[in-house]
Amino acid sequence: MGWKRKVQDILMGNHPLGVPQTRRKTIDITGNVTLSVRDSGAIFTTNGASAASNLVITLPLLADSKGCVYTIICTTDVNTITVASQTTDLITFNDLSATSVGFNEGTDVNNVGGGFTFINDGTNWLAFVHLGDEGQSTVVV
Amino acid sequence: MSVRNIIENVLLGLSPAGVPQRRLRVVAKAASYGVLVRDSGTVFTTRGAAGSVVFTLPALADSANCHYWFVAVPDENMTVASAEGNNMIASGDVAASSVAYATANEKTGGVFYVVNDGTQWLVFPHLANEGQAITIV
Repeated sequence: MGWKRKVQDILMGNHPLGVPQTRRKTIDITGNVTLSVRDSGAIFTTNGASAASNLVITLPLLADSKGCVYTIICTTDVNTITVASQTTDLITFNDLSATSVGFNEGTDVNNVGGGFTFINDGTNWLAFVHLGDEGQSTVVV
Repeated sequence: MSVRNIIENVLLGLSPAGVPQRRLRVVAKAASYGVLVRDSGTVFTTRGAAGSVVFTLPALADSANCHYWFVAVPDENMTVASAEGNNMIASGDVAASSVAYATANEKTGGVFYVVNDGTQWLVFPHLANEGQAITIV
């Protein structure tokens, strides 16, 4: 491995051998929040949020956060959870310009176990959907 | 924080301040591509593709513990194939040769995460929708 790649790995926060061997930071979300660039790599849970919560999680500005990654998982059965970009720059199922994705208890009996990972590739937020089971569905706007 | 602490953090894969704050390497491939060992950890997308894209994984023997993400962006076929064939574990198949998002209007947003455990390629599909189809060969 060349020195340039080693430096790149270190700057990316990876192990110098290129293995992203990290422990993941976890953060509880109990109300609406806008994620920060410095939280990249963290896993966000809904621990502590009430069943009546309609959580809105807003991703950072696309221009500021290339390469950032966030994972969000419903650990409580909130009423709705919506993860929104600040413009129509989110890619998800059959949609190249979505504004938000989420889970809705009105659609699924229980939102627990559902989650998303978002990665900014410099042009869009790429949404990786983690369905809790084959019957769970997302709400895309 | 001492220089020693900073170096320790970096070697542990943490940021110099000790926070697991990392950005991923994201690379767009508009045409088929032979994935390299040194690409491990990369997120590949098919951004810009006007036709099918096939990602061929590195030789299994050379790439133990390597891992890659593949994201379908335009509504074009995206296939992830092993170099040797018959050594991928996918849904209901312990000897698959490739996995793909290849059903019209069900490609965008599909993701595969692939890890070499030293014996086989483990495929973690991330369906963007409960109805999204995967083609396994």
